[in-house]
Amino acid sequence: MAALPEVLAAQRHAREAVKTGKQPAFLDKRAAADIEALTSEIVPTTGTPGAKEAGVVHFIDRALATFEQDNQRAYRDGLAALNAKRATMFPGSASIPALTSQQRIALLQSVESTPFFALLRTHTMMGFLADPVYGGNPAGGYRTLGFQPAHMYAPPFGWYDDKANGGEN
Amino acid sequence: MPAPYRATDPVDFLVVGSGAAGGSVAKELSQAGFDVVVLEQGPYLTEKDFTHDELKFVFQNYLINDIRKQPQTYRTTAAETASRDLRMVYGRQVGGGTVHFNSNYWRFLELDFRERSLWGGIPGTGFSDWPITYSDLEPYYTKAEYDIGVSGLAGANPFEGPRSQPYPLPPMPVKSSGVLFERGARKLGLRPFPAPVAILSRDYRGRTACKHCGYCPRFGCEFASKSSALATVIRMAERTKRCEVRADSYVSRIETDSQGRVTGAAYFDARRKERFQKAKAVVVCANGAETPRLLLMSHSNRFPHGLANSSGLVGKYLMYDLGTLVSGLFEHPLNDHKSIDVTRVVFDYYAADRRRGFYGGGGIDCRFGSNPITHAILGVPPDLPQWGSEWKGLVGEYFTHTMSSLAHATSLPMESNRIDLDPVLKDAWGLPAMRVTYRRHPDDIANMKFLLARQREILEAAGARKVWDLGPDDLSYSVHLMGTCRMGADPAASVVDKYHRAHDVPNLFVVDGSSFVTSGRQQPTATIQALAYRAAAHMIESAKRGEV
Ligand SMILES: Cc1cc2nc3c(=O)[nH]c(=O)nc-3n(C[C@H](O)[C@H](O)[C@H](O)COP(=O)(O)OP(=O)(O)OC[C@H]3O[C@@H](n4cnc5c(N)ncnc54)[C@H](O)[C@@H]3O)c2cc1C
Repeated sequence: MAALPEVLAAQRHAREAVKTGKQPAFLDKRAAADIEALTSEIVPTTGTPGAKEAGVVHFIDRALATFEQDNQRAYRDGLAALNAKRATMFPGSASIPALTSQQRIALLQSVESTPFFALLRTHTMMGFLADPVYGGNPAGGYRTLGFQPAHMYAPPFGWYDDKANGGEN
Repeated sequence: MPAPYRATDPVDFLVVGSGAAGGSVAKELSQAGFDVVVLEQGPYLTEKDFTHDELKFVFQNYLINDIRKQPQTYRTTAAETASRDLRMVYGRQVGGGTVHFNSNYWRFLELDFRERSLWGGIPGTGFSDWPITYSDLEPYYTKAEYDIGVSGLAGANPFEGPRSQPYPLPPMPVKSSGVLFERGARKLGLRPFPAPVAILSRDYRGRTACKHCGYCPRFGCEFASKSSALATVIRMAERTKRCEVRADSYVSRIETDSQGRVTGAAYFDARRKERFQKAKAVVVCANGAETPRLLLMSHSNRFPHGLANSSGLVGKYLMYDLGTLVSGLFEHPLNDHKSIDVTRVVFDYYAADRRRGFYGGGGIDCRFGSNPITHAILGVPPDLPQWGSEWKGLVGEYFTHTMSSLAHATSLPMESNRIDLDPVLKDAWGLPAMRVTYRRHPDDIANMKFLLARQREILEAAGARKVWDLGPDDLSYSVHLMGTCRMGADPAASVVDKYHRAHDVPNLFVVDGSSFVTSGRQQPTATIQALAYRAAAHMIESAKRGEV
C-alpha cells in the first residue's frame, strides 16, 4: 500500500503550489512544462477551470516523488517518446509548450492507446478532482461534474424519484 | 476491551478471521458463555478512520488486501505457469469485507439449495445439491437480519421462500435509478422489488439511520449505519467480555496433535514475531480464498496434503463473481451518486430455464456506483471522447444523468478451478503465495450474454436515450469468494459436513463462502452469515454435550 499520508500531502501540495506559484520539486523545469501543457489539453480550461488551475502538474510532481515512485520511469520514457514524436510530426518545433493547442491535441491523439497516455490521463483526473478536504477545490472539478459535495443528502435525490419521495414531478 | 487471554491457556474457541462469518460465530459463542479469541490479520479500524477520500479508499485500496505484501498468482488451467495478478479481492481488517461492501443482502431462494435435483447433472462440473435446504437456514437468515439490521420489504420478492419474520427495517428510499428501473421492468412484465440491504433505513439499536452520503462501495461507514460485522456482531461479542478480537494477527498454521486434533494456531503479530494461541477448537472463517490457503499451509506428517484434505478437495470448485454491467443516459438528472448503491432488483431471470439452451440465471439490479474521480476516468461511454474540451462538456451530463444495471450471474463449480499454494512465490512473511486457477464454463458465458440482453431491454424500456455496455465480464478479479471447502455428507466428496465440521478433524470447523456448493446468484454475504449462525448453534450444542 502506498503511504497514504503522502497521497494527501500531494493533494495539499498541489493546492498550495497553485496559490503561491511554487516550482515543482521532483520534475525538472522542462518535464514540468511538458506535463502542464499536456494535462491542460486533457482537461482544458474552458468556461470553467481545467487541469492548469487545479495544479495538476504539482499533484503529479509530488506523486512521482512519493506514492507513485514506481512510475518515475514511465514518465521519463513517456515524455522522451512524446518529444521524439513531436520532432517528427512537427519538424522544427522547439518544445511541447511551444506547439499550438491543435498540434498538442494531434500529438496526444497519436499516442492515445499507449500505457503512458492512460497513466497521464488518470493522474490528470485525480489531480483535477482530488478531495477538497485536503486544501480546497479551486479548479471547480466538482462543478464540471455537477457533483454536489454535501456528503449528506435527503430524498428526493434526482428528478425521477421526486414523486416517490413525496414531491411534485 | 476485555482482558486479553493468555496464549498458553487454551481458549474454548479460536476463530480465524473477523468478517461476516467470523464475527457472527464469535458473537454467538461468546454470548453462549464460551471464551473466544478472534485472530484477524488486518488492523482494527473504527468509524473515525473512515473518510470520503477517493484516492485513499478506491485507488489505494485502503481496506482491501494488498498484493504487494500478499501477492497472488493466476492461470486459467493447470497446464500454464501462473503469473502475478490480483484475482481474489477481500476486506482486510476487523469486520473483513463487510466494512466496505455494497451491502446488498440477498437471501438465497429455495431452489439454490437443490438445483442439481431440479436441473440434472452438468458434465465437467461438480454441480450438486447442498446438504441443507432453505428451511434449515431460514431461522438463521432471520436472526442475522435482526442482529445486524437489514432494510427491505417482506413479501415484495415474488420468488422468495417463506419467511418467519418481516425485515426489521423498512426499505431505503428509492433513488431515481430505482424509479426508472422499476418503470422499465414493469413495462416488460417483470416484477421488480425494493432491494434488501444491510444498511439502516431508520435508527436501530443505538445506531443511526443512513445519511445517504453515497460512499458505500469500498468505503467504511463513518456513521456505523452500514450493518458491517464491525458495527454489529464484533461489538456484541466484545460486550460479553468473553471475546478478544486480536488484530494484526496473521495466522500461518493450524497445529494438530498426535490424535489428529487441532491444538491452536501459530500467527505473526504486528511486529512479525511468531506466536501461538492454544485452543480447544478452531473455527476457520478466513474467506473462500484464504481459508483453503491456510488449510493447505497447515499440512503435517499426519495430514500431508493439508489439513482436513483427505478428499483432496480443499481449494477446489472455486466459484467466481460473474456479472454484466449495462449503463444508460436519461433526459433528466438522476444524481445517482447520492445515497446507497442499489434500491431496486428483479429476480425474474433468477431461475435457470431449459428453453434458453444453457444452465444459468441471475439477479439484476440498478445502481450508479461511481465517485467523482472514478467517473471522470470511466464514466463517459467508450464511443465518445475520453478527454479534451468535448469530454469536459459531456462528463457532467453523464455524471448526473446516468445509471447502470449490474446482473449477478451463476458460476458453475468445476474441479479444475481452484486455490492452492504457489510453488515459488512467497509473501512478505515468507509464506507461500496464493495461486488461483480459474476459467469460466461455457454456460457461464452464455448466461452472461443472455443477462446482458435483458438488462439492455430494461434500460431501453425505461426510456434511456443511450444504452451501452462493455460486454460480458472481462474476468478481472472476484469479490465473492465461494466454493473451495464445499459442504456435503460424503467425506470423499466434500470437506465439511452440513454443520461445517471438518470430516477429518473433530474439533475443526470451517465457515465462510468456502462452504458453498453452488454460487447462487452472487451476493453471498447474507447466506455466509446465516450459515455462520447455524454452525455456531451446532458448535454450542456439541460443546455443551462435550462433543467438540
Ligand atoms: C468491493 C466489494 C463489494 C462487495 N459488495 C457485496 C455486496 O453488496 N453483497 C454481498 O453479499 N457481498 C459483497 N461483497 C462480498 C463480501 O464482502 C463478502 O461476501 C463477505 O465479507 C464475506 O465474509 P467472510 O466472513 O466469509 O469473509 P471476509 O469478510 O473476507 O473475512 C475474512 C477475514 O479473515 C481475515 N483473514 C484471512 N486470512 C487470515 C489469516 N491467515 N489470519 C488471520 N486473518 C485472516 C481477513 O483479513 C478478513 O478480515 C463485496 C466485496 C467487495 C470487495
